[in-house]
Amino acid sequence: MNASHHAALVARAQASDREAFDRLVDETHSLAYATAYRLIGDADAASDAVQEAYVRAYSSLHTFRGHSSFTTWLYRIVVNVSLDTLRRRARAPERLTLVDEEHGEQPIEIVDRSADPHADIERFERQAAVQRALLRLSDDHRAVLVLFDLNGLAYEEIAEILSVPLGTVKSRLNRARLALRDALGEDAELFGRP
Amino acid sequence: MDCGTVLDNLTRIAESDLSAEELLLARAHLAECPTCGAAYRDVVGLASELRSLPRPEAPPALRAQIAMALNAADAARAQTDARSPWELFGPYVAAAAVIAIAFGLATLVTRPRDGGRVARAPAEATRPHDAPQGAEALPTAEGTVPPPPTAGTPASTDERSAAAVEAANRRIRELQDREAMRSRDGTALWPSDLEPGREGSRPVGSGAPPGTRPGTFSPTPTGPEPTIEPPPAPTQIDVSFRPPDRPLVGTPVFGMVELAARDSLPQVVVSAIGDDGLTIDKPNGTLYSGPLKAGETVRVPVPMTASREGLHEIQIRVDSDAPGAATDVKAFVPNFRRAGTPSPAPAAAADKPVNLVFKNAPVRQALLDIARQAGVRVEMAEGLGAERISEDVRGVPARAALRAVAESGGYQVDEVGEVFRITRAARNGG
Repeated sequence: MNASHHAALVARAQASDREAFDRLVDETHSLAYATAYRLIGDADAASDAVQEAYVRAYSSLHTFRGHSSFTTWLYRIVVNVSLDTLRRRARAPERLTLVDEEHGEQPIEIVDRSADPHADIERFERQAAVQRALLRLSDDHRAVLVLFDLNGLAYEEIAEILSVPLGTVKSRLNRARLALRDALGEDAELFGRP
Repeated sequence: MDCGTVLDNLTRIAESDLSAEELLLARAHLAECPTCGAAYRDVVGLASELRSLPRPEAPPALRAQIAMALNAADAARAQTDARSPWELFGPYVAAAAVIAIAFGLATLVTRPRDGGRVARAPAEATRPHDAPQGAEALPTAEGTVPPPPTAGTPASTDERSAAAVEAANRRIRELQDREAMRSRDGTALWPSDLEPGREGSRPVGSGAPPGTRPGTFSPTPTGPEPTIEPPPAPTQIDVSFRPPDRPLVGTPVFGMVELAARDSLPQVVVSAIGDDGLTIDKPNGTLYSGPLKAGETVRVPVPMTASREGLHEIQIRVDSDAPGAATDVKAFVPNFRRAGTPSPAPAAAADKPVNLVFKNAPVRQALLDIARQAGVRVEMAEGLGAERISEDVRGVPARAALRAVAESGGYQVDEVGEVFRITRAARNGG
């Protein structure tokens, strides 16, 4: 959806048109969820974070001036809420999680396993290893990788979302990728490295 | 170009985000330096891996959950809009009145009036113990402070204070009346100084004449200036609900509420109400009454009995004296069915063969894979399952496959209803 379409919906939502805000939710919640999930690494917590992010966006929509796109603004809220969630979780005790439900753990699909089970398994393992390594990174590093490599945002947009200068985004992205390499640990062999 | 510069710019080299000259130098260095060359290939390869990760699908229920959260925000906003200004700002106004009263009366009692005119106070009357001499300035038998001086008298600080006192007394009576109307069990309005005649509450000092209206201020000038505590920051209670594993109509089943809070709370009361087809099997629906320690999770069983099949709704209320901590959670209990009818997640799912080969795979991921393929539910505590296993479970029923993988990793499997619960295997013989 283009920015002007969202801008029109935002204007209507700012005039207390709930239906317009619901449309914005319809069109953005998948992206918001994917971002939250990648940052938090847990389906239920990501769902909660997305709900909280939309409530925050809804409550403070009157402060949105349209200097950035709605999705950039929403990204910023989702990232902040997700990082808050991680900080809270760091203080919380361990709890049971359902690892398989309808909206359970990370849905990594194994496609056409019967064709070449070993190749699929290796790809699956590499993806799982990257996901695990991602969760071992600092919040700053994970956020920049999720926004750049997973969500495909531009440097400028990331700078706005994270409220850091453009140069910081670039240097942080470089450090984050190196940190990801280190975080792979023994899984590095899956990528053909010793 | 040196290694440090190149390593600091690997991403920019990959993105060609340097000048042509810098790129040339950097690429020349990468071709010559094995360390930097390997780092470059790793970074580029990992970026590619990241981009190939499948995008997580939003759960189907998420959209509805967001709508419910927005509805709740709308309702809260409507409630706030409907509140009177006193309800919103009353405590703060009252607090301001406390300061005004204390400050004003301290002046009043040291400057007794005569016939409504301001008189010069004798020097000794400024001593605290002489306060009763200023009895006219203290509340009357009705508990109110005398009115300010008659019209025409120049408005002094005393008069303004007296007016403030009168206004405050009027406000106190309003608060008392309102409190009497709404208090269930003597719960006080903030600040506690305004509680009428409550043991340990501060207002009535030794100088208070008999018959003082409870709750009005009769401050002694000896009393310390009241300190006004701001309302504490709200404490959020995290509430989650797990529905029963096997919800059968007409049979008592158990769900679970989990509570956690950032701060310790001395008393938390959890209650639940079911919909018209769901009874909470506890007197008054009260599930728990007790403390909640910071950082600890309290798990509270929720016994319930449904009278009809299908989806049921449950309203969970968590009450606490801590400001802002009380919370309401709406939860759903799906798939209630009558005993003997087919389950929506039939036991046959566990007998369904899976077609998987694991090679040095983490246990957790392998269990997940089996569960997904067979459509069974698996529970495992967070942080477990990092051990790697290799198992060929092609054509093996899901139940057996789960056991094989779990046992290879040092875990045991317990079937709880339709859930396979994975825990660390108990050690035999120590």
